[in-house]
Amino acid sequence: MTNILEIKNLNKKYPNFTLKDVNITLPKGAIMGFIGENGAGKTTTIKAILNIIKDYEGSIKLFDKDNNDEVVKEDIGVVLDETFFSEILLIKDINPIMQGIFKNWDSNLFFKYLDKFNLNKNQKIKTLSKGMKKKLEIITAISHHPKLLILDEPTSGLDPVARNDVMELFQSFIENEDCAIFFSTHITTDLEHIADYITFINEGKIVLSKTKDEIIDNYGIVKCKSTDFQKFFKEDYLKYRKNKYEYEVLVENKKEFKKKYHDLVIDKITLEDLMVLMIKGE
Amino acid sequence: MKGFIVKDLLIVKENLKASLIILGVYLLLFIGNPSNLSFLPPFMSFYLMLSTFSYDELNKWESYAFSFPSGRRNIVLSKYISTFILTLISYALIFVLSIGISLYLHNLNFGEMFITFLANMASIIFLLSIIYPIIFKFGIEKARLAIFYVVVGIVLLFTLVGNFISTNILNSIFKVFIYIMPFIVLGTLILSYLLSIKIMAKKEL
Repeated sequence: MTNILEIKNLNKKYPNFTLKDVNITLPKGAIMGFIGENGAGKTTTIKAILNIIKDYEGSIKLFDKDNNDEVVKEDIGVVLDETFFSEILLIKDINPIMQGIFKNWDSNLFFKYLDKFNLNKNQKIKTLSKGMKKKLEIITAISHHPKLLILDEPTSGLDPVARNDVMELFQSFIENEDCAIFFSTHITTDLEHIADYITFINEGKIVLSKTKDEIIDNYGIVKCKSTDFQKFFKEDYLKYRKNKYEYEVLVENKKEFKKKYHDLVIDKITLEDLMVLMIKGE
Repeated sequence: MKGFIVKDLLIVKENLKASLIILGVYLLLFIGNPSNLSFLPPFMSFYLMLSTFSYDELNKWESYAFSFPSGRRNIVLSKYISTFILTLISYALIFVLSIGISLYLHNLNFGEMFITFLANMASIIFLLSIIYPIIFKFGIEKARLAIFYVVVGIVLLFTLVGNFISTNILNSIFKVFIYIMPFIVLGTLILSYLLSIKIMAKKEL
């Protein structure tokens, strides 16, 4: 098994939204960032992977097995948006509950993480701040030694320090090279630090799925005047956006572009620029 | 599945702590008449179990639970088992308490008390059997109104039957009914469980 997750031609229709021909492959040992606007289809894709929605077309394989096979769920850790245990429960209550759900639940590891992140086990879940609760959710997700961590917006609404803690948790999880992380986010700066792969979804379609290095090495932004822009051929660039004083042009292959237009400066791309230009650009 | 039951019972425990004062007041008010105490176990199993659904829904537990091994099936199975455990415990507790009080007051009629408790328990199980598939289908918030109608409907049905049929006939029906009741309740329970499993297997969140 080299791929932990394989989605092929996933289609799902809703009255107002369609997920169309989604293909995603996540090899083991990798972290994939799943980016896109709110409402682009990130959560729907995650729900399909986890079988929270069932009525879809296409195939989803986890560890080479169909995702309908309940056995695969033993090896998945999940953090979903606004979905967790009842807040009336105590933090320590999670232990006996999860012990009765996952065969590999590791109580020692769970309490070790609680200590490490200063979570008081006797506290009620509802008394936790948003950041603390998210940490608890992630700790809960990794305490049964899953091979795949699936997280929906794990860092949204967190302050930079809490986000940093979360990223550290991910790093320590991925040290085991048989594991992988698939997480959706619209905070693209998180990905620049830790992601190996970037998959970008827009209006229910995958518009890009590549390694982060490929994107950073090849993609670029050209900021130029209207007169320069008029000289470009359509096949030279992917998208462009007209700002007040200049054109922002997204190019897919910096080197090729440089060969053709050597007097223009090509800026390094950030994932945020890429996302905005892909969505807003023409 | 054990984890799901533990979760429900832990919620009940926390919730019970919060309703301890009400329970205490109720006990003090009605302790003189043990037959009134038979209202307590249905309150406990009915109210406390339905509240576990509310807490689940508030934190969208179902989506989370669907991602666990056999989550869909275990949500259903555990609710029925938790209900059974809770009903049994609450009825047993109040039954023993009632016997104690009756012995103290020297008015114990064991046979009658046992039948009352049993009939009471059977009606609660019957009621929950009808309600659970509705909750699994629509969620507790939307199902509240339906639950209200089910309860009112059953009360109305019995009142109507009581009004139109003479007491003598009713008594003889009751004598037969008491023997077939366990089968009706058990049948409804099994149907209810199978229906809930089917609803959950198809549910999309």
